[in-house]
Amino acid sequence: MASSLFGIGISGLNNAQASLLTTSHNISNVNTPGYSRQVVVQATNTPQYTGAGFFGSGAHIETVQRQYNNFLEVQARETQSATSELQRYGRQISRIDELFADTTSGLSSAIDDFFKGVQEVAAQPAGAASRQSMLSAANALVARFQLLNKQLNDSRTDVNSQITANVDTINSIASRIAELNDKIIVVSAQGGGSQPPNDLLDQRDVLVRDLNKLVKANVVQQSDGSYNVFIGNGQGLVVRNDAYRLAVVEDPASPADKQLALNTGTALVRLRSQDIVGGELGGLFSYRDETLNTTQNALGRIAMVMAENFNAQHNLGQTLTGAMGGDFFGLATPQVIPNANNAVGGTATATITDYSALTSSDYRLRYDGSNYQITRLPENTTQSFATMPQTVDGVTFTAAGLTAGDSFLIQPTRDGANALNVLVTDTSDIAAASPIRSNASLSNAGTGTISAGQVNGLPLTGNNYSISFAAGAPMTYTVTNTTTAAVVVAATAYTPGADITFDNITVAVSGNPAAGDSFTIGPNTNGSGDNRNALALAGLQTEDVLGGMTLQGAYAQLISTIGNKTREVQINGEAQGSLLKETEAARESVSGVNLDEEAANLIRYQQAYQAASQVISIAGSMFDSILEIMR
Amino acid sequence: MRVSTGMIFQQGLDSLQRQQSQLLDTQQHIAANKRVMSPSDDPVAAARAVETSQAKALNAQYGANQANARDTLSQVEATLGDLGTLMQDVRTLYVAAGDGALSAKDRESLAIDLEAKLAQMLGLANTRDGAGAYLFGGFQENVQPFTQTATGAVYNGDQGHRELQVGPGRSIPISENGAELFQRIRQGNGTFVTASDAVNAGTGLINIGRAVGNTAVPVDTYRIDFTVTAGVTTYDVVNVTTSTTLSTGNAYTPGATIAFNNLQLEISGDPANGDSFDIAPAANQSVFGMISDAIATLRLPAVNPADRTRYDEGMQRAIANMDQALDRTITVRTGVGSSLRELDTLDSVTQDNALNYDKRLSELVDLDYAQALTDFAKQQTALEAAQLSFQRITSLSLFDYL
Repeated sequence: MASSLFGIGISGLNNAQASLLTTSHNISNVNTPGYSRQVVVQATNTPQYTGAGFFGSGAHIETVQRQYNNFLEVQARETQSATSELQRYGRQISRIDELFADTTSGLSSAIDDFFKGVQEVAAQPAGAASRQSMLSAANALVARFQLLNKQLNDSRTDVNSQITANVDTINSIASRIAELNDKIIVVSAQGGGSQPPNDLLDQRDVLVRDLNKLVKANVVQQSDGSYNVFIGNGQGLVVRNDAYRLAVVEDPASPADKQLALNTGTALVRLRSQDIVGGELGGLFSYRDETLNTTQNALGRIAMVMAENFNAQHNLGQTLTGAMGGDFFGLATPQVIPNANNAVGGTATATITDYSALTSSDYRLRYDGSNYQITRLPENTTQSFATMPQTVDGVTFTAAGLTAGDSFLIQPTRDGANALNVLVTDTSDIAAASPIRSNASLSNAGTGTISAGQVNGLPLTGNNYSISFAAGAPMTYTVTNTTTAAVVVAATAYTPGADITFDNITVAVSGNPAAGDSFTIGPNTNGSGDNRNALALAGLQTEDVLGGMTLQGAYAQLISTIGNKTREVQINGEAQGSLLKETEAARESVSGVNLDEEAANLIRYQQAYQAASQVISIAGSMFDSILEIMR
Repeated sequence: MRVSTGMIFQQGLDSLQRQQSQLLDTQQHIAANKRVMSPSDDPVAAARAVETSQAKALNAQYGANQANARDTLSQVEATLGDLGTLMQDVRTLYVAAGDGALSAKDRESLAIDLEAKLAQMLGLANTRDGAGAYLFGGFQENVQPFTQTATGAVYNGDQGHRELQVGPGRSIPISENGAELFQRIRQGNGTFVTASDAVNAGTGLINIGRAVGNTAVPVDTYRIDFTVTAGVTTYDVVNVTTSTTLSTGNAYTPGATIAFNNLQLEISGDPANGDSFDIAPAANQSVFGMISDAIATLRLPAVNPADRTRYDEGMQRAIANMDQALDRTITVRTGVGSSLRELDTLDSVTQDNALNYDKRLSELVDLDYAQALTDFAKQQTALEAAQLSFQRITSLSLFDYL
């Protein structure tokens, strides 16, 4: 019996020592990230049978178990991935948010200043100072557009380089997971595969968590203990002890943007950016595709529509030198980017035919062999046409010689803010005057008056016209081109105040002209004091030129869109953040080390150790008693 | 729930960081005096602030335009005032010239005086503004509007009006053109012009007449022919345009009203046999032409009673013409005056609007200090409490008792 007493005592001593060992391990790993608390699982030894029944024979250690809940771990991973995505998105978008915010450095004040310059020209049409101030304001406006655009471009470059950096980290994590998989397979196999390598498992879980900070990765545990890790649309990043390299490649549809591809060793599998969700990468891709593209397009659209409308009116004016006003602004043309995989020979063009219908979207033109599909991006709404050319949202698309499968990315307004420039450099080339003026003959007997007249379009003949009134009931008028002696409007009944239109000119005569009265319309020679065109240009500030909105209205809408999106992302990010904290708390509650608990355990196992020692000491003294008898 | 040591530290730290970031955020808003620092703080208010800023800038621009308009119009107004005074002076000269006792020398000195006044008036018509632009040249502000000729002056400008936008949808003209002001002036009584035939031998003096009822300018030209047969003077009224005789053999009473077709006029004195008088629709003449005519009249030879009659008729017409010119000047000046008055009203509207826009902008984006400072104090207290409790909770350890 005594020998078994020794055995029991020693098993207790060993168990207590092992527990103390694990407790010390727990204490030393209190600050190790991802460490799961370990506990020693003890069990009784097989009892010995005697005629008197079963006698216990001490305890042994079943295993060292890590306190780990797989469900909580998966939840923490997923929450981590969603949180990282939103936080990255939030950090990127808040920079745009601040960029557009400032009332002094934003676009708003530059637009106001520019139109102030136009108004100054209206007040002093011949003044070199006022004209210079309008030109300077125009250049400042262009610079502001370009600055905002440059900052958006910088953001795009930043996003692309962050994608590359993240991919490097992902590759490094993936190879470490593969290494750990390898180790875990080998180590687990020891002793018949019954004991888990707790610390290695913890390390691997930490790596998977880190991976999920970068991109959402799904994990499937294999029977040999290894993890298979999948990203994107189910592409395997780590399979047992193999890690496949993720690469950053150019998007064939849009060379300015980066795309991910997985090198499987035999092929390069492209991952569509909309399939990359979660984590920093997911945040970067959705920021780039949702917010950055739309914002840059919207800014370009404001620039292009403003320039186009301003040019149209400026063309109708007359400069200080008497020439017709040319284009004031130079503006972008739509970018047509052929897919890198297109067959040779196909071409496509895009022209803006209706600026007021222009949107902030990009378009993809795709030919499937029989139909042309025009897809609006990022909305992904497709219209199908059997023939080209076609006009969608004010943009006219043409295509020729396409092979089935060819596609083109069309960005009507992406370059709008960047390509905006001021073409007028000489102050006298600002067309503040109208090219025509009207006069009432001094010999008129009636009370008829003529409006100043307006130019509806080009070309203008530059000829002189006269409107002469003849008696009748009702009275009639005839418009004659006095330069060529051609009648341009034959005798027409007179209605006071009605528009008289000929050769792109509209005037109105009101009042009561007498028979024989005449009015003349001719070139506005020397009309340096005329500000009519400047007033018309200034009027564009409050005109609804962008689909029912003024320029500032469209800018305000852009700001509101960015603000709302930022707010949405921030609020969702905060909500996900607190969810992540809760999930982590739940996980920590199971797996975390509590020092007080470990202190208590220390005392507890120390006492167990001391008690087992006492058992051995008693067994020893019992043996001594027997020896005393023999002596 | 089981609590891990890491959790105690992590959650304590998280809470400290969150509260510090809130405190910093509040502090930044207080420092910037802005409730909306970036659009995401309040997207709707940020968008409305952009629109309100534009409205405010436009309003300020209208204010600037009003000031410009006021400057230009004040100068026009002042020039019109001078012009009115000058015209009164000319009229006074005309009245003085009507004195029957004037000698040829007296008339000549009056003519010289009038020439000086004409030059002065041309000077006014060619007034430039502070920037050197001509006030009355229409759109051609760098072309001298009037050049003197033997019979008055020619107008080189056009009939353009410059306008400035002084309010939403409100533009007012800030310039008057020389054609309207100086050239489009009806002669005579404004409806028709009476004149004696150049070869009249008698002393019949026709006055300027007046239109009654329908005051539209007559389209036709009329003539009154006098016949003196055996000491009895009669006259015929002929419509020259249609070559029809309206009446014949009317008995002539000096100074009695002769009326036909809504025209009324009087002839006094003794017309000789064969004398005739013309009544023509009033044409437009420039004020310079009118004054030149008056100067020519002053220099007419005054030998016989018929000459004297022609002189009287000429001066009488000159006075009537000058009254028309004065009328025009006053009309134009009234228009300018009402524009200036409108500008004064608009000025106070603009100032009110500026205050309103400021107020609205402030409501949209500015900080409510009371609220912000209360928040700040609250957050500060919370942060202090969090710091204290963190320190307390982390100092508890069972190891202290081992």
